[in-house]
Amino acid sequence: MTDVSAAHATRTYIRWALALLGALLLIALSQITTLEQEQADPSLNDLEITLGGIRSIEQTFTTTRPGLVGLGVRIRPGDSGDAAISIPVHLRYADGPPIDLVSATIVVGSAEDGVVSIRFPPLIASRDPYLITGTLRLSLDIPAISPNTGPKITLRKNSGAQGGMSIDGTQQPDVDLAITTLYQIRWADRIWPISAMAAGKPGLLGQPAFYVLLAYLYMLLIVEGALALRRAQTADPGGP
Amino acid sequence: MLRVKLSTTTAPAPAITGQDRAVYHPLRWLIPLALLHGLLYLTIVPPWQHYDEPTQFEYAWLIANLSHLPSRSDSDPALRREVADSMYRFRFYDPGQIPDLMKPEGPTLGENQRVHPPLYYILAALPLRLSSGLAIEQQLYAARGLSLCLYALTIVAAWRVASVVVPDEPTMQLAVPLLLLLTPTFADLMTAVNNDVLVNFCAVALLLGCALLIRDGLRPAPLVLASLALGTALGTKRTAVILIVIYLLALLWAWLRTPMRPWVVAGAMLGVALALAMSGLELGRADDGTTLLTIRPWLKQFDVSYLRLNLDAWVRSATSTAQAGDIYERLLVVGFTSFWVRFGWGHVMIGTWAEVSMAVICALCGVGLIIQGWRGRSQLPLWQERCIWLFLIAITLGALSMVGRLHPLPTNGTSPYIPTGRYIFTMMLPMIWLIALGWQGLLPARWKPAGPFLLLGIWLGLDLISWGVALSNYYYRFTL
Repeated sequence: MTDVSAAHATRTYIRWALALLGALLLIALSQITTLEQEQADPSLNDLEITLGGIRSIEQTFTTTRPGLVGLGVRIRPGDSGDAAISIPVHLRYADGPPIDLVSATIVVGSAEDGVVSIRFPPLIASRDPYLITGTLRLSLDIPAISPNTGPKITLRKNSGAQGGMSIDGTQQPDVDLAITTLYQIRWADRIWPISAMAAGKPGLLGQPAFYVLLAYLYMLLIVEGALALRRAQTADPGGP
Repeated sequence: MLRVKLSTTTAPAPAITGQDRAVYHPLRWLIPLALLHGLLYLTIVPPWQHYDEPTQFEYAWLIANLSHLPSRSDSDPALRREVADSMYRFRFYDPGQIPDLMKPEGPTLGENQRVHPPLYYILAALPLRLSSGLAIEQQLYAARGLSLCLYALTIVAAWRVASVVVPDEPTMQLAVPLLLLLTPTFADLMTAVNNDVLVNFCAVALLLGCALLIRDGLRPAPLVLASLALGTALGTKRTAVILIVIYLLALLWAWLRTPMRPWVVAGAMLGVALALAMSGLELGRADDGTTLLTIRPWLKQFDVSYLRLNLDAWVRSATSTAQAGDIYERLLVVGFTSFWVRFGWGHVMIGTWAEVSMAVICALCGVGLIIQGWRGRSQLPLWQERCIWLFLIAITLGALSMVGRLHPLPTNGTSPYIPTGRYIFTMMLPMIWLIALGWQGLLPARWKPAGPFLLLGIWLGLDLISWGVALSNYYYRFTL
């Protein structure tokens, strides 16, 4: 009798352990993210302009997927003294309210492979082409530098549909700022949009893994319910 | 599915007592399942994406934050701005539409809900007091948390109704609450900030009280339960008025525990209806010369001085054939589809195929119910038979109340308001009951054991598809 109850207890523990393991596995899987960079290779047609005498550069661009986490611009010091120059950077909705989504400062000397980057928490960008807020505006507030001196920034021949650039408020129809975008891709989003579900929500609801765990527990209980129904049917005097 | 009984007396069914604790074992998974399922809907649906949720929340918030019950004109511009801002951030508005936060009275959030009795909002104000000072979304989720608890309690009450009505059928006892639990429109509304949540819970509690009264006779506990549930429902929303008929009928059947001859019942009902109609109504003429019914002067006077229900316009509208047009067809389509397969603000639709499928299932179950009724005639105990009649009458009342809400139709050519199915979610449990019963009547004997699994499979599929539709509506389109 003792053996039977011990075996039953062991089976119960194993079931619990497996359920727990499943939960931990799913939480771990839901945390997996990869970074994908969208960057055009340097081209012979690229142009370089010096920032001296310029007050601001603005570039609008359309995000191509959710989870924008970084932006980079190709910039290099004109001479050794430019490396310490800091440039405030703002990212806003192109046509939305004038609120900074990202506010940061880039230091010219911190370039890696010629690109100075900023990183920020994921912006879950829209897939809806009718939503105006899918387009963002990157602004660089250039500090006072003498004309024709200072760091050099790379511009690229206009690719057409990706947005527009302006220097000191004047549109530059032929060129764009050569920006690099960095997206964080959550593996689980391909199955369930958990990043979007958690975006902007408070506390626990703001954690993508919470939704995975919830759905998993629900499925477990559905199975438990189906088994209970089966047991009830066996016990049912009118059952099979 | 109902077991064949040789007796047609009013002998009580085998009672489920508290001594048999195994009876309550299903609750060990049913309650967590209800909570989890509700929590999924609570969290999947973004803030403010339920019927009238911003203004329902506003009412409860005002109670929580004012020192008195708010009047219709009371408002808090700061709250309105905060809610509208949150609605904007969570993509409530159409692209490009921005609420005017600078208006002195604050942006408009929707229809003023302060026309409703305050009972539900007083309850919803409790979690809001506890979460006061937190972000507005956190306060909303706290208020939704109360609805989640009521949803879980509703499922427990539905399980208890099933164990009372079919004490010897464990499969049906589990299938009915599971079907209710898995109905997506019901789960969606029951996890919203909405006074319908309390009314729906009270309706199921009332049905439980009524089932116990019909089964056991006039006993104190079920009488108190039914009375309390009815009183609470009436104190919550006027859509609960139809529950009075159910309550009175259950009392009558609890008191008269011997079979009544059908022709006596039909005759009495007809007689009462005729007497009421003759005393209050008379023939009249519409503007276009067609004949319709109007109310008698004494009733008109009573209505003007006391009831203020605009009865004359209602009776004229309801009996005018010229004015109706295709209005009942539209009512049927809107009412049916929003009852089963449309949620959110009624704008989240699964698709025409789901609407047609549900119509086919309901029609088939109706046929199955007739077959079941024919096979089981005179074989059920009287109390069980009466419980089924009570469910049927409840659904009929629900349908009539929808017609009632439709009138009086506007006479100035404007489009009338077509009520949605949520107004009769109080009848969701009887509807589920009859579907389950009809489904079993439809299947041949050898398929019957698999019947509940098949039906639950369909409902689970509907539920999962609803998630997919909700996710696609809320998160693939509006995500920044």
